[in-house]
Amino acid sequence: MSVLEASKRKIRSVAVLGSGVMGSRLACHFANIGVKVYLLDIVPRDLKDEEKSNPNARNRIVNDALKAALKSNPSPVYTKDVARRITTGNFEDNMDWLSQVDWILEAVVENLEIKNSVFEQVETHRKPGTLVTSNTSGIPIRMMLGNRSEDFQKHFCGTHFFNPPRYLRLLEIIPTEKTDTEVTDFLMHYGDLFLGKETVLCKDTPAFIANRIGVFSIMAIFHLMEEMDLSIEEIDAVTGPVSGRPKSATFRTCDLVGIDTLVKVAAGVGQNCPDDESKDQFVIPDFLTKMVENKWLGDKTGQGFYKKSRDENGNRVIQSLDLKTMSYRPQEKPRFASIGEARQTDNLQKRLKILSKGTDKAAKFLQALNLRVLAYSANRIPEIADHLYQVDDAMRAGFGWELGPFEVWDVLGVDRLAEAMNAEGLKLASWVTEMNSNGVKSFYKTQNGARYYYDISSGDYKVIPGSEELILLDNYRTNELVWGNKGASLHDIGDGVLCLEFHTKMNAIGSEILQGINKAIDLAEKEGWKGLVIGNDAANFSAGANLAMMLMLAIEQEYDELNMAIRYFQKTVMRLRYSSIPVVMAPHGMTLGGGCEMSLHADSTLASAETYIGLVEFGAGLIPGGGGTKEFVLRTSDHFYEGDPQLPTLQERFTTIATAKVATSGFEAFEIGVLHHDKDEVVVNQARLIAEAKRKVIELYDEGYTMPVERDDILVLGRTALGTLYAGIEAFGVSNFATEHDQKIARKLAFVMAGGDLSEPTRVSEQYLLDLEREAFLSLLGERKTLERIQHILKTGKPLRN
Amino acid sequence: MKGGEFLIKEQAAENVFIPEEINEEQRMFKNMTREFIETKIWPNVAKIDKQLENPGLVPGLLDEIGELGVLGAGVPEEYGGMGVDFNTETVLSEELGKSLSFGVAVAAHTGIGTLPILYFGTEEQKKKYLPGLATGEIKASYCLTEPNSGSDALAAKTKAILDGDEWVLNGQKMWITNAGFADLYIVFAQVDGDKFTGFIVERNTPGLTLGDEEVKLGIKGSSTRQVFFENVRIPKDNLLGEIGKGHKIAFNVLNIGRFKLCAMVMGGCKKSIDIAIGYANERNQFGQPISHFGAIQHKLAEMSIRAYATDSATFRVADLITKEIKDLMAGGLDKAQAKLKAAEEYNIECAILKVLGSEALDYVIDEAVQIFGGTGYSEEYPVARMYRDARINRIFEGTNEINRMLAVGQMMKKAMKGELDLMGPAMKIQEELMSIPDFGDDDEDTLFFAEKKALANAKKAILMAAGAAAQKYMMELENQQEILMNLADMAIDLFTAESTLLRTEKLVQVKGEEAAHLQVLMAKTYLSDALERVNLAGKHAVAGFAEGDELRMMLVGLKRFTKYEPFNTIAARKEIAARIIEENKYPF
Repeated sequence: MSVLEASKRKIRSVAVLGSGVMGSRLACHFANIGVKVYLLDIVPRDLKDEEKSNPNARNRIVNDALKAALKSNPSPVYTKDVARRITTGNFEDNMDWLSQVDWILEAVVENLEIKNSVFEQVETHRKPGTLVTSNTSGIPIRMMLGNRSEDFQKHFCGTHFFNPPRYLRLLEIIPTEKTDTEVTDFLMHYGDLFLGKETVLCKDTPAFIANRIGVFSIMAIFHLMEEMDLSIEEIDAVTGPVSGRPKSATFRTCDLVGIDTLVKVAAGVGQNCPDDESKDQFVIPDFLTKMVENKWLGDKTGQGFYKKSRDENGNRVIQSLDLKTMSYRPQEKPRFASIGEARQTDNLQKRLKILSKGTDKAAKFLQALNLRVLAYSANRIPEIADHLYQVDDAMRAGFGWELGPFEVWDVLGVDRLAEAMNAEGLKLASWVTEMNSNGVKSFYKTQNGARYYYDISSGDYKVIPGSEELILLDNYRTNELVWGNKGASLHDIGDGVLCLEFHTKMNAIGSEILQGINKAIDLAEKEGWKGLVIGNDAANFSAGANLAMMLMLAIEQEYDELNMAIRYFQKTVMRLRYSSIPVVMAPHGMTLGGGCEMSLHADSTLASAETYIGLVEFGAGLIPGGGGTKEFVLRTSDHFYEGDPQLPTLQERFTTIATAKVATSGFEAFEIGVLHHDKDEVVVNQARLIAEAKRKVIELYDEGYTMPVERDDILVLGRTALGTLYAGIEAFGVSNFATEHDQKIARKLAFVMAGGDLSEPTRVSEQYLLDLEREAFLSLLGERKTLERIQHILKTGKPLRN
Repeated sequence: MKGGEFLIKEQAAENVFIPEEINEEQRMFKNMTREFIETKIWPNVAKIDKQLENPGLVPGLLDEIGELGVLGAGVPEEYGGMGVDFNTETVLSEELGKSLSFGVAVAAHTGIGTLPILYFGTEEQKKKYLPGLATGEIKASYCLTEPNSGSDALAAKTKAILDGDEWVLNGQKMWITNAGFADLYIVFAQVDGDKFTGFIVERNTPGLTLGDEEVKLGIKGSSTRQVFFENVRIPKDNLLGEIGKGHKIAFNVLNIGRFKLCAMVMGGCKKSIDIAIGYANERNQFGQPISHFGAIQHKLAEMSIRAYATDSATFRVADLITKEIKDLMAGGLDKAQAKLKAAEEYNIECAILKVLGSEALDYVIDEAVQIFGGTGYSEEYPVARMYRDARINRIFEGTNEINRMLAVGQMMKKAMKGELDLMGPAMKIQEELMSIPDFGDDDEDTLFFAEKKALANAKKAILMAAGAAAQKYMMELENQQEILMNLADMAIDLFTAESTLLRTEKLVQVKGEEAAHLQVLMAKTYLSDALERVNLAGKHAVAGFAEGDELRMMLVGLKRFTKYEPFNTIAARKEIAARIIEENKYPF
């Protein structure tokens, strides 16, 4: 695809037609990336006469829908002010807006007649050349072309987002025969770069790619569980993270999606795919029909496969549906030796291999399921997609599978599974047989950091298009590491740039990672690398410093060791800024505590839009001790203007730390002062994060990077600030907003942020503040209540107020 | 308390058997054996060692002790033995352990020589051989080791081929105890190349020849020769057990063998102390008996502590096995099978005892030689011979290295099979490490509260280290010998310290705290030292496979789990030594 050609089209404003669950959230997501959005829906049919001329009443449906969406959790917007970019209207009064927009997205009810009538109206208002796309998940795109003008048809395409569109990464692009290739190319590109989606080109076949395979998998599970007599908890135990599927596994996912939706999609495929060799798998099992009859549709009706209720003591309990008796019973915790063994390792590939050799029911089930799903996927090529990587991309991004079907197949051995499929009487796709007989032993291969797929039409490996622009650390694992230890690996990601990847449990930062950072910077400086990216592709960038170790050392009163450990952390963080090479951090997902402190110090931070970053030390009974408090003081000082009242600025920073504020998106991180407009950026498509960070390193290098000079001019306010901050803390205590211990921590924080007990505002050095910060941190580790907070976080993952 | 469960459970003191509780009958056996050894063996030790000059001496003494019933003590009455219980056998073994080379001959005969037939023989074989074995009329020998297969016993090359009604054996066995005078040989050979199988071969079978007596470091009075089989034809019925199941015989009799070895060396320890204190009280330097000196007192006390600890552990296991035999018999097994199964159940403990006892004896006799000084180096005094004789105990019945690996390997195996829940407690420890400890807030001021807490913690230290090692290496752990050694050392120290404490606690219950005062000091001293060793072995182990934060956290965990209040071991040992000096013998 030519980026140049595609980028000729600009999207400044879009119209979203239909404000249902999908439409309203789509509107939010377009607004998220800075696009002006018109969200329209029907005028309520039951308007009273006096309301008929009231614009607010006429927009009631759309306004209520948007309000509900904005309140929903997780939030569809990056920051609250995003909603200002959305203008609401209705289909009767505001269709003329369509003439001003660059893209019209249809997201009305899944009914062809209604959709066509909407398109008829669209046709009368749209300017020629305007994009029109439908977000249908079930209706063939080509059926929406009837009676449409040639210009409409050329600019019409299916764009299938997944709910919630901000968070689910898949965007299926379904062109018709009439769709202009320029339009398809543009959507593929725009979806990726601007909307941050994994765009997958689909054919106009029932349920497209992800739902076709995903729903097949669910249906195959239903059939297998009956054959092998397994309970829903047992299925969820084996089809969850242990086998590379999402936490919600199978039945929680069904409850989330809605049983009726599931039945609709499955039945649709069953009806519309008469030639599907496995269409018997789409036959709806009785229990599912019964659930729909009983309105046990999952979360939307409060009960599905699982039901939340309370026991006789009023405690929350989760019950699960016994499919044999169709009644709810207390949830069971199944235990399987194979799962227990597999869980010992963090490496999914190893886990899959362990499970493939297991002999208990769970392992046998997964083996049978894999055979069915993988055989089915192979038989869908080229029916639903020309290339196998498109199926894998869709399943990863749309269903949260860690590995797509062909990737799983590669792990378990292509010929071994092919044999097993034959033995099971499953239809093996002829191209797989052919590939096998040609001695090709895997669907993918990696060479020089690039990923190749087996192309069935040419019978040869080809580079995955677009993958050259991405940096997937996975593809570098076969290369020799530049350096590595148990917690971190240093990769050469080309063009003279290094990338340090964390891989500890939850990417907690301990001595291995700190050693890795120091080593990486030393190497880069000595060997003449251009710079360093610190990034990884784990679920979360970092959960923060290794609290477990600090807790243990604190309990044993190893304060010398603790002091050394914190000092080492501070030195390492300072190294991020004060080195002769540019260092760019690439946070994503949770980036807490120590992870946030690192981002504060890097020469530049490129955060994913989905970055949840903040200084959360307060929750653990601590203050930021790895340069975080110092950095906030420094930034406050830089913010002072002569003659301005300085205290409120300091107070605001103080509050951010004292309330352990976490940004809910990369954009919000600017608002809470963690990211800084002068040096930091947000990358919407997380898949591009490391590549973008690398670009940034080169940019900084090319600009002629020079090491900054350590600061000794930080203005701290001393006693003036201390008194005010203390008074505020006192007030919070009196009004019971802060516990005794909260107040104690807050006073320590205030002391550091005021620069200590200085009689007048003074200019101090970074090291001065780091020492204050470390001292406060250490003293808090001697507090029992702090230890209790840490212990609670380690055990439950949640903070404790004590 | 099942085999290996000492790692995860606490045993109540009232449920352990202590040597102070032996009954009248047992005491009678003990005294009889002791008298035999004092009068018949000790006056002849030099002669016994010169066996080529006195070839009939040891066989004759075996006949004599056989007449007393000692050789058939463990053989059921229906086969001409006395059928005493396991605790009584243990008491006997302890006394036999004071008889140097002669004890080796007795042990080889009654243990690995007799037990294969008792456990695995057919009814005919039992009837034919056991009565003779029980009296000593038939003397037995066990042929497992070969020039190229020692610890790797199953790699034996001796072959057995069925030719009509006869097995034809060809091969060579080495280090065969009692070979010179044995009437019957239990021989292991490969059938069809790889089916390891046991056979009974009688002495006068043509083709069976003996090598010369080996010239050995010690136990010179024990006959040790090579045994050659050259087309040795034996009746088809002399097959022992099943074809291809020889390893069951070879390894199972070793469980009992290891246990008894420990009982014997424990007797050896006590004898060594008796001899050493006698000398220390007589020998004057700087105008006073050397037993007045602190350095010597330290040795005497530590020798006794080790003997006391080994004694405690031995009888603890003896009683566990005795009870298990009873339970199994109640479940329908015959006595022999019950004994076999019971020993197998406690194979971890048996392996631990073997290492514990043999190393205790080597320590004790080494210090005895040291107390004797220059005279200890002279053949004129007994300790030189005892020093040489002790050394073999760390080698035979499975080297101590093999036994260490076996102990840990069996723990892991039992855990994998679900017989021993190590994983559950190991996971809980992970959680506990992340928790604030009680800081001693709830400690009680009762006897042994601190010691029991320390033991419970030491178990956690072991589970933590072993659990992390298992997680790291999975099935490969069995190849990490250094780590296995460290883990075994931790388990051995824990088991021994706990056994010592349990015995002492029961003594206090029975006799009162004052009467058991010195035992309390011994238990605390042993525990205090053992925890340091557990900590050190743990450090070695975890540093071998963990690094960075994980290592640091485990080291902190080890520190936390091996804590014990400061204890003045110098004062304790002084008090213990005073009693030994006063009584002029091992007094406990």
